[in-house]
Amino acid sequence: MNRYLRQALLASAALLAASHAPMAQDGPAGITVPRVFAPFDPDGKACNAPPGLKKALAFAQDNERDFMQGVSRGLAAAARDRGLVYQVALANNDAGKMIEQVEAMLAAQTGGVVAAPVDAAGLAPRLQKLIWAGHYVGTVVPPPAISLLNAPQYLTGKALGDAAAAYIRDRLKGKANVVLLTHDSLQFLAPRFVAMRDALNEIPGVTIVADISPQTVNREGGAAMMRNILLAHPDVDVVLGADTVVLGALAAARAAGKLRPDQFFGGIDGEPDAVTEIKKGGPYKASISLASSVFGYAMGQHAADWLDGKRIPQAMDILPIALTSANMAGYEADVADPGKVYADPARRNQYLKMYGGICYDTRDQYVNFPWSSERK
Amino acid sequence: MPIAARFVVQSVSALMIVGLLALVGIVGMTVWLNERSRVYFEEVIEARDIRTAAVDLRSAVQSAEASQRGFILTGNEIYLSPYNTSKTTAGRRLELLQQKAAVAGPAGIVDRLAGSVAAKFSETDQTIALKLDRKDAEALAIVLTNRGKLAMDEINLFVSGIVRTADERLTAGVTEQRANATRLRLISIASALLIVLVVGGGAATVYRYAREITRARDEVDALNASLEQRVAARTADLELANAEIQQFAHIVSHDLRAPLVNIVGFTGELEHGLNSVRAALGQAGDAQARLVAETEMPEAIDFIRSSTRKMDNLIGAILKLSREGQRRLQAERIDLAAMIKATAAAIQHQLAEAGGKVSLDLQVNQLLTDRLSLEQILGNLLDNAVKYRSNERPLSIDVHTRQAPGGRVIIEIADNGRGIGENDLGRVFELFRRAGAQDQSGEGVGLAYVQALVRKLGGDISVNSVLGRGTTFSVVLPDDLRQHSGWRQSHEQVS
Repeated sequence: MNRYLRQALLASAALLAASHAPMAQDGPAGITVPRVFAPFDPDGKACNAPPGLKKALAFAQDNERDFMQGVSRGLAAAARDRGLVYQVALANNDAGKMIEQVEAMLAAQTGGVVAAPVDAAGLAPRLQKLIWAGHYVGTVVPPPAISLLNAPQYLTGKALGDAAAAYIRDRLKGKANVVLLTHDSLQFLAPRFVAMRDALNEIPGVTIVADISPQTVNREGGAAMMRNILLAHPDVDVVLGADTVVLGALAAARAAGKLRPDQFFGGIDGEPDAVTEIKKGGPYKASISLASSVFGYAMGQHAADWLDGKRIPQAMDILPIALTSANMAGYEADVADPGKVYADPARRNQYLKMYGGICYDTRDQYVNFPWSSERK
Repeated sequence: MPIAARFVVQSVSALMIVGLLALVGIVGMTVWLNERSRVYFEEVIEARDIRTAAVDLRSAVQSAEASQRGFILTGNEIYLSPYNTSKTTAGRRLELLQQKAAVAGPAGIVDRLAGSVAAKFSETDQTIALKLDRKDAEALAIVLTNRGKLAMDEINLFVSGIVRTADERLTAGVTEQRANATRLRLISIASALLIVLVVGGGAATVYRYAREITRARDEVDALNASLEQRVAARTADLELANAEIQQFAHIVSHDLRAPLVNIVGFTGELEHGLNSVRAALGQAGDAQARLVAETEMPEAIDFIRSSTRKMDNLIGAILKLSREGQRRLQAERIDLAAMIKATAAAIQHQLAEAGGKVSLDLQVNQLLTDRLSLEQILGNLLDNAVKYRSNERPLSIDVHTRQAPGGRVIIEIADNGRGIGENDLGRVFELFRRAGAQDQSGEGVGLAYVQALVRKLGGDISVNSVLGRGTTFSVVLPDDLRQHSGWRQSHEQVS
C-alpha cells in the first residue's frame, strides 16, 4: 500500500501539473481547483441513470500485490451482491497495457471502472473519456475520478502515534526513548511523522533519541539505521515508521540483543510480516492497516448505485486501523467479509469516511485535483 | 547489683576501644571519600571535555551547513566567510574526540561520527564548488539527494549518543558523590552517637562505681562506729564481770586461807601430840599402837602438810591473779631492748647452769605500755624457756621484736627446748594446766597469768611448738597502750 500510494500520489502531482496546462479536450475539466467537500449525504437528490452502459464493473489493476488483491476481492463481492458483471484487467505495472485495457473498457461500454493507475498522468485522459461517457470511474488516489479514494496521511500517522503514546503511558510509566524512522525522500508522507511527533509531544517523559530517515526505505535501510541508532542510544523503548523499515530495525535490534518484550515496535501498511510479528506477541505491537477489501467493496457498491442513477460520494477516506494482537481477529474477519461491514453503518464508519456528492447528471463535477481530506 | 572493680576496668576499656574504632572509622571513611572525590572530579573534567567537544563539533558542522545553504540560496559569498573556520573547528573537536574515543561512548561511535562528518563536508564542499562554478542546478541536485541531510542527521545522532554517555557518566558520578556524602553523614552520625554512648556509658559506669564506693565507705563507717560502740559496751560489761570475778576470787581465796591456817596449826598440834604419845608408849606398849604412832600417823600428818601447802600455793596464785586484774595500768615509754636485756640478765644464773645463751634481734626498741606487766610477761616466758629446756642440747633463746601493721609490735621468744605436744598446745594457756613431764615445780598458773597480762595490755599471745625441737611464743602488743580501748575506758571510769 505504501509504495502504491507513493506512486499514486507522485502521479497525481504530475497530473495536477498537467491539468493546468492548456490542452484540447472533448468534455468538462471537472473540479480542478482544490476544495473541501462536505460530508456525503446519501439522501440527496436522485439523478438519471447513465444510458447505454452495461451493468458491469471492471478493475484496471496495476499489479497483484496483497493490497490490490484485497481491493479486487472487495470489488468482486460488491459486484456479486449487486448483480454486476465483474472483470479484472491486470496491467502488471505496464502503463501502456493499462491504457489499452481502459480504452477497451470504454469501447465496451462497461459501466463501472475502478483504476489503480500505473501511470496516472498517462491514464488520466482515458479516464476522463470514461467520465464524459457517463461511466462510473473510481480511482485509488490519483485524479481524475467520479469518486476518488485517498488515505489521510496525518490521521494514519496519528493512529500509530496514539497507539504508541497509549502504550508508553500504560506500560512504560510515561517514560520512553523513541526512534522515528522517517521517509525524507517522500515529502507527501511527512504528515504521518508530524502526527507521530504531535502525539508523542503530549507525553513529557518521551525523549525522541533519533528522528532520522534510513538511506533506503526498505528492511536493509531500516536495519542499517537501527544499528547506528543503537550505537548511540542502546536503550530504545519505541520504534515507529513504515512496516518495512521497522521490520528491518526489529531485525537489527534482535541481532544486537537489544530486544525486550516490553518494547513497542509499530509500523504503517499492515505488511504480512508485521502482522505475523504482532501475532507472535513480541515487541512488534502494532501496524496501521488500510482495509483494501472494505473500500474495494464500497467502490463496487458506488459503481452499482451510479449505474442506478443514485448519488455517490465524490471522495472517500480509507481510515487507518491500528492492528494489534487484541483486534487482529476482528479485523481479519472484517476484511474477509467486507459486505457485512458495509451493511452496518457503524462498522462501515470505522473504515470509511465519505465526502461530497455526485451522480450521472452532475458528472461534470468530477474530481480532477489531488484531493485530501487533510488539505484545507 | 554492685559493680566489681574488674568489671569497671573492663567495661571502660571496652568502651574506649569502641570509641577509638569509631574515630578510626570516621577518619578512614573520610580518606576514602576524598580519594573517591578526586577520581570523580577527574572523570567529571574528562566527561565535560568530551561533551563540550561533541557539542562544539555539532555547532561547527551546523554553522558550515548554514554557510552552504546561504551561499547556494543567494549566491552571495559572504555566507561562506565562517565556512572554513567552522570546518577547522569541527576537525579539531573531532580530533579531541578521537583521542578520547575509548571513553567517549560505545565502541566505534567516534569512528562513525568521523565518517558522517566527512560525508557531510564532502557534500558541502562539492555543492559549494559547483555553485562557485555557477553550476547551480547540479549543486541543487546534490542537495535534493538528501545526502547532506542524512549525514547531518547521523552527526546529530552520534553526537547525541556521545553527549548522553557523558551525561550518564556525570549523573553516575553525582549520584555516587551524593551516596558517598550520605554514607559519610550516616557514618559520622552513627560514630558520633557511638562516641556519645561510649562517653555516656563510661561516665555512667564511673559514676555508679564511685557512688557505690561512697555508699560502701559510709556503710563501713557506720559499721565501724556501731562496732566500736558495741565493743566498748561489751568491754565494759566484761570489765565489770571480770572485776566481780576477781573480787569473788579474792574473797574466796582469802576466806579459804583462814581455815587452811587452822588446819596447818592443828596439824602442828597433832604432830606435837603424836610425839607425846610416841614418848609415852616408849618401847613398851602395844605393837599395833606403836605402829600407828610411829609410822602411820606421821605419814598422815606429812600428807596433810603437803596438801595444805599445795592448797596454799593455789590460793596464792588465785590471789595473785585477782590482784593483777585489779591493778591499774600505767602507760610509760619503755626501752624495750633494755628491758629484755635486764630480764635476760635476771635468769643469767640458770642460763649459765644450763649452758645456754640468749640472742637478741630487736627491730623495735621502744614501746608505750605498762612496765610491770611487760616485765612479768617477759620474765615468765624466759623463765619457762629455762625451766623446760631440753637436756639433750645447750639452751638457746632467740628474742626478736618487729613492727606489725596497725600500730602493733610483735615480740617473739623462741627456744630449742623440749617443746609441747600437739595435743597440749591448745591448753597451755589454761589455768592450773601443765603439759609434758612434771619434773619442775609449778602450779600451771604462769602462762595463764601471762595471757591475762597480755590481754590486759590490749594484745594477744600465741604459741607454735614442735615436740622435742622447741617452742616459740609470739606476743602482739599495741605500741601505744593509750590507744587501747580497754585502757581508755578504765581510765575514763576512774577519772
